[in-house]
Amino acid sequence: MLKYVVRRTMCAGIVLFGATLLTYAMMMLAPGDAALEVAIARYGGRTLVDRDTIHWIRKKEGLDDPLHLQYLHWLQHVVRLDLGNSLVDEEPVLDLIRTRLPRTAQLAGAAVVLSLLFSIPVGLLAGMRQGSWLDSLGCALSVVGISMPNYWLGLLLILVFSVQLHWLPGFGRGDWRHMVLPVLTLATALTAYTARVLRSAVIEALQSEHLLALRARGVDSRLTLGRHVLRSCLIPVGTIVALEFGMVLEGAVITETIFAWPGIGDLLVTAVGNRDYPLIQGLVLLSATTFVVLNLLVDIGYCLLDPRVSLS
Amino acid sequence: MSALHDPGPVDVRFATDFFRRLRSNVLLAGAAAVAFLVTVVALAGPALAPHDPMQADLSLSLAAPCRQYPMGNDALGRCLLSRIIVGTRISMALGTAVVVFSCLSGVAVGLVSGYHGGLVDELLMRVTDIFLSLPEMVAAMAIAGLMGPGTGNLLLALSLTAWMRYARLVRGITLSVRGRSYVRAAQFAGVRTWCILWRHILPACFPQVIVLATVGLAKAVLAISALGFLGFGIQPPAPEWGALLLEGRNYLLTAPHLSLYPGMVIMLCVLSFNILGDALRDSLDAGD
Amino acid sequence: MSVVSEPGVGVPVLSLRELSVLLPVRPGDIFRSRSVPVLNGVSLDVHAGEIFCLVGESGAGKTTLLDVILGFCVVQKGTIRFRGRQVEQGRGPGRLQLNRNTQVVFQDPVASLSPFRPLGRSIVEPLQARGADRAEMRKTVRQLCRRMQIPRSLLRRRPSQVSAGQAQKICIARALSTAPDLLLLDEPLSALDNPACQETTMLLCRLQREYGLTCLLVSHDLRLVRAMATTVAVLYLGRIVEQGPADSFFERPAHPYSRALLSSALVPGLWPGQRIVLEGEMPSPLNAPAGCPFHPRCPERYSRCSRMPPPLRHVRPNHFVRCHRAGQGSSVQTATGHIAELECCEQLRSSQRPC
Repeated sequence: MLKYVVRRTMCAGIVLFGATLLTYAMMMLAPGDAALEVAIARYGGRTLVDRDTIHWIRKKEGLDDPLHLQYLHWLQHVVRLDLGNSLVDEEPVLDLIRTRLPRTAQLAGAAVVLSLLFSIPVGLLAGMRQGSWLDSLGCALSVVGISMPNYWLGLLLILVFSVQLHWLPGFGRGDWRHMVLPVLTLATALTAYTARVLRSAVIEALQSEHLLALRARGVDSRLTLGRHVLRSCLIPVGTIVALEFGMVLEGAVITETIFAWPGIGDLLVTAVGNRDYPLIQGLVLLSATTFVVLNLLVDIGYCLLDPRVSLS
Repeated sequence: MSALHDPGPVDVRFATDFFRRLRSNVLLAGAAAVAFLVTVVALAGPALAPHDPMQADLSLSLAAPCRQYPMGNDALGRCLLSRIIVGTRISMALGTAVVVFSCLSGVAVGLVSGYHGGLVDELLMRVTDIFLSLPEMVAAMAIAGLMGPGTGNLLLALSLTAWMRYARLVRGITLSVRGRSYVRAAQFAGVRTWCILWRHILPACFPQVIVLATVGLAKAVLAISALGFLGFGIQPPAPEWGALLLEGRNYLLTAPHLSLYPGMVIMLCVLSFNILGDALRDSLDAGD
Repeated sequence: MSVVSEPGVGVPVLSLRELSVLLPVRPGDIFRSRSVPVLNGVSLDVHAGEIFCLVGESGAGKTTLLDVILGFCVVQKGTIRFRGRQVEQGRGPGRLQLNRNTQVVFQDPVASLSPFRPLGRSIVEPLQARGADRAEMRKTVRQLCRRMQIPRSLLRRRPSQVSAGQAQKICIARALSTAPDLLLLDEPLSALDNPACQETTMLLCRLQREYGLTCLLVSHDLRLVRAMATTVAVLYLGRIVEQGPADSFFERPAHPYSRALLSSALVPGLWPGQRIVLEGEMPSPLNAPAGCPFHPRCPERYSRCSRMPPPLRHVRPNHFVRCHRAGQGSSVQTATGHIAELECCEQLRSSQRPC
């Protein structure tokens, strides 16, 4: 089992390294002169920059070197947790992230908790009572939930609760009331998706031959059956929680933009708008690292829970 | 040589089961009808629009829905319904293109990876993992935002983040099918590799790929509008749905209809494809 | 000394020499951290017109042997010759020649036909791969259907819509469509029920007579072996422990394992004596016993068996056995038992043979 953990961690390391390569490659896609873009972003407009400034920027940021050297240079810094400075306001990227991350984490955490609170019972019930009206209702609601564009949902919520009813503020960050609408927006898609996954996991677990064999042996007690079902559901639930943290990051990008919540997502949107390469790279790398680490933890957790996995 | 028992022609049972469901389930029939309607509108395009979507009339700026303009007018007085109708073509065309590109590339990678096995498989799977480690929205945004607005860039950005699902699926199916006796018989008989892939392995993947493609279309449409809403997608004055929502956001107090209708259309479109995809998946599972 | 037929009988169609195959313990382990010897110095010759039957329990290595001949398995040691020409590991000319002139009938007929194509198309797949044109393919299908009495309506169906017996007929037709020099049969009856077994056995016998087929048949079904074989070889733990002409083999099997196999076959007339029950199971190749691999289960073992691997002994013309006991006289069965066995076999053989 230890061998599996080591092997899996090494795989994750390779994937992470590849992710840095991919992130860096994305920057190469951008057309135009990087130094010029930087200058425009920094100084405000095309007319405000002269050739000397561009030249100076190019030298300073090392944009003249061949690409693979630039990449290695960047990688060296990344490994030392130096993600460079934002091209726009010249603050260290790491500091910007550090300031904003807890705010996003606030939203994300609340959304994940809320969604788990609803999706687990709904998913379990729908799975166990497959075919009933409860199941149909759950399925219908969840398919609507995943189809609804979360930006539209956010706008609707603002329209109803903020504009018409004036119950809750529609933007910004402040006390708990500012959190309600963004968290609701984020949690809807999460709940819908998670409930579906859980439902199919429960159905599969109930139909599994293992359970049939148990029943055939006369193990009729609800408790024992329930325990076995729960055990085989625990694995998908673990995956779901990890998945949710990944999904919430994506949802946060749009949600924070709508509600003007000053978190990581909002930062990313601004960075992309400004062509702020170091910041974009840092943020993309951050999300990639989160994904990879989460998946690694899930796989190791699988291995602990389900001994069959380590043999494959 | 494993003696796996094939339960029968999967593709035939899959199709018959799906059409049976279509006849009996009202919701599914409704979803299919909506999907069909969306396709028709996308194909017919501007011909169906009651007014010229580009025609501005400032006297009608932010007018509420009325009989002549069923969905009202935007800030420049353009008919919202017409804009939405024309926008259908943009979303559907781009969405279909994304699905086609990502499907073709993903299926190709999956086939090669699963059939060859060994080092090629390991390598391709690592590459897939690397692409999977970047969250879709974040990566698409970064690529689209950096490359600049434009249909081609959007297509590239979304395809790069979508092909992996197909690759994983097809690889799994290929691995399970390539050991079967009929594939071995064909290999031994000297049938060329591409012929084996086309004749024997691809048909086995077909039903599941269809399911994935349907759901993929829904996801693509959502992603296109999301990027449009953030300003990184199709740019105005093209009436892309997400861009319409972005415009409407500024007038949430005064003209809520500008935010309601585009979003509703997006949702209905995505919903219908998701329901279709679910039904297809159920048909597939029922056949096994 | 190795198990080769006398010179002058002509170049054998298929010739295997000292074939040794190691398989990784974990499938898909491309670094082969641990390997198990699945085949150990297997040698055999198949001559033109001969039906060579390989008999053995599951796990003995029969499937691996076929995989090696088909080119799906890598060989660590040993050579394969097809019509005198060496067959290489990769895609060399020798391998291509073997593939072009050999056909296979697999174990599960329904699984060895593509579920996505009608049966008529599956029959001509080997022909198509060799570049035959439509007219030729149609002609071949017509001829085969007539010869094998396959109704035309069957050709339009899919594998899941026909019985296993019918599907196996189609597979045999497919195998014969290119008039191969060598036909490999991997347990062709194991997926069929009894009536279909009978029918298929008779069909195979008839076809062998009409076409003069050369076959390598792998089976644990001794009825089929008895009906078809000209030569029988017994495989145990990756080694051939006995090989001889069918008559000689069934009349007086020389190896204790062969005797146990025949006695357990439950085929009337095959073994009139007492059933020989073996202890234990065939061991895993990972823990192959020292000396003779069969000795832990052998009812006739003695001290030498656990110390030294037995040499190959010539007990009758063309009949070889790997046993320390061989050639020491029939010490196991009583003389009367043996003689009775001979007489019984003689009578029953002449009355039982279906072909």
